Amino acid sequence: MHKISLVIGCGVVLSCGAAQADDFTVSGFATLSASRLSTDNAAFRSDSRQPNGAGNSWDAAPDSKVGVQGSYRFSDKLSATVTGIAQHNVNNTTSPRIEWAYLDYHLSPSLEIRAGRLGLPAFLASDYLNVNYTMTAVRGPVEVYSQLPISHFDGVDALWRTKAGNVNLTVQPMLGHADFKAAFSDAAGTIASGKADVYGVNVVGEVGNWTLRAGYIGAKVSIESEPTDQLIAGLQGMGAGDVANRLAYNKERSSFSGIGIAYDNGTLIGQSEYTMRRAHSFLADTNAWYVLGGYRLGKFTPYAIAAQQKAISPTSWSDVPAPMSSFVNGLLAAGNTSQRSLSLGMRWDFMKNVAAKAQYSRITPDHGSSAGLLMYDASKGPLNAQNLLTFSLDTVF
Amino acid sequence: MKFTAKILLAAIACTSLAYADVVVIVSSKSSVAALSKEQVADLYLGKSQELGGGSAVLFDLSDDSIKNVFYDKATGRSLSQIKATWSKLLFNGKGLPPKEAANPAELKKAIAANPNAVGYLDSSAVDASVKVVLKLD
Repeated sequence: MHKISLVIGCGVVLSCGAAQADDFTVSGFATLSASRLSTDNAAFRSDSRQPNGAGNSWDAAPDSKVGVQGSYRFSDKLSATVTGIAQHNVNNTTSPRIEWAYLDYHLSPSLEIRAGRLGLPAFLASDYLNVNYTMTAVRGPVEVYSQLPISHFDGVDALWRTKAGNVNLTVQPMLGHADFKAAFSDAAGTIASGKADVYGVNVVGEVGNWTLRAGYIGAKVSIESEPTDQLIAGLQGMGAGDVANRLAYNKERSSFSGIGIAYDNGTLIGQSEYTMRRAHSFLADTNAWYVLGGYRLGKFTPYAIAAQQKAISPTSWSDVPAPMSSFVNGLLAAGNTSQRSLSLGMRWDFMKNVAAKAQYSRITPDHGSSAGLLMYDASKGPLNAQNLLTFSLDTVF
Repeated sequence: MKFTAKILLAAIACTSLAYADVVVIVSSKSSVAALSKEQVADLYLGKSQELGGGSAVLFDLSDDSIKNVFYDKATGRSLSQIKATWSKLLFNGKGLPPKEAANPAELKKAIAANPNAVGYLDSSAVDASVKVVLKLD
């Protein structure tokens, strides 16, 4: 009750501002969604920051959300933007979080710098991943988009727009720090918390109906969780210091890079990304991709998506001392979230600013993973392929 | 009161039927002499902000019927696709959607006053305060 009134309170304050000044704009987005998985033994979540997910009954938690964004323009050069989002989060509540809060200064028409809390430009759709209305599908494919538990950082970036021939180029270097919390995919959703110093560059080129994107993010990452801390202490006590060091996620160099391509001629839609996560310890190195194709028939857009995530680093170590081996290798096995999926869906733009979507996905655990990205108790043995059905209403206002 | 509303509605319906040519306009003070359809599409799909060496200030008409004709002819996209496109830019802080003018008179006034402004009108509403840079037919 307290949270709801807080959200409404923010909304009222912002709308009043909007009514008073032309320099103040308020916009928002919302998704009302329900998902159901074909089993109660596992749970589907759209993001590793969700501590639980949808089983074999309709659940609004994976994709439903409300976001409000306010911008104030101090001058032609300086503006401020704040975005708050309420959705199912790592604390198992829907308390709103500040996703973005930054000042934007235009040094020239082609160069702006921004400082504050900014979106992490890790994917083709990073910037609008929260605004489901802007996407053809119900959500960004989880094989690619759930590889990172970080969506924003506190720091600075720059947007430099230029032209190379007939290509409109945007070059975005960034630098900052992110604190994050995520849940492992074990049945209990064990929480891990971490911090990362991040830097990188994102380049987007647009020409005609094509968008091309390439990006690299380097990071120094530390992650802690109670079970891993206990394992590390146990290993050290047994004199297995090198295994303990390998398991500790302490200021480890990690990276995330990817390329993407999108085509939209108004009727035919195509989009694809290939991404690579290079991590450490219990977090496997992963390669992940998806291909989406769609075709607009008036207000209806049928689409299909193929996606895969594959763990490419060893998910079991042979040199762990026997008493600890099953625990450590159990943890590493849980980090193997390899899966592939095929999805079919339909978007229906049935009224102004509102889209209804339905999407069916067939999810198959892959490459020795017990349940892919689904939350699961691995002691029950490997999970078979599962079906996921989602209905969503997306709007912007 | 009701009667006037009906007349107004009828008038609006008639005007929307009468849209023959939509033209893209800039201020008569602008240095831009002509724009290609591709340049207009890039501006109104948020792919480019540059106009005559400055930052373009885009205007929309609040009247959905002429807006519909303009976006269909200039970009080949429906208004819901345009809404999705500008929502992407708006919520990532990379661009603000076109400002909305309540009627053609207000649009002309805003465009005449700003050398960086771009808008569109039914060709019959053009006067000397603005310059036609592209005819969409």
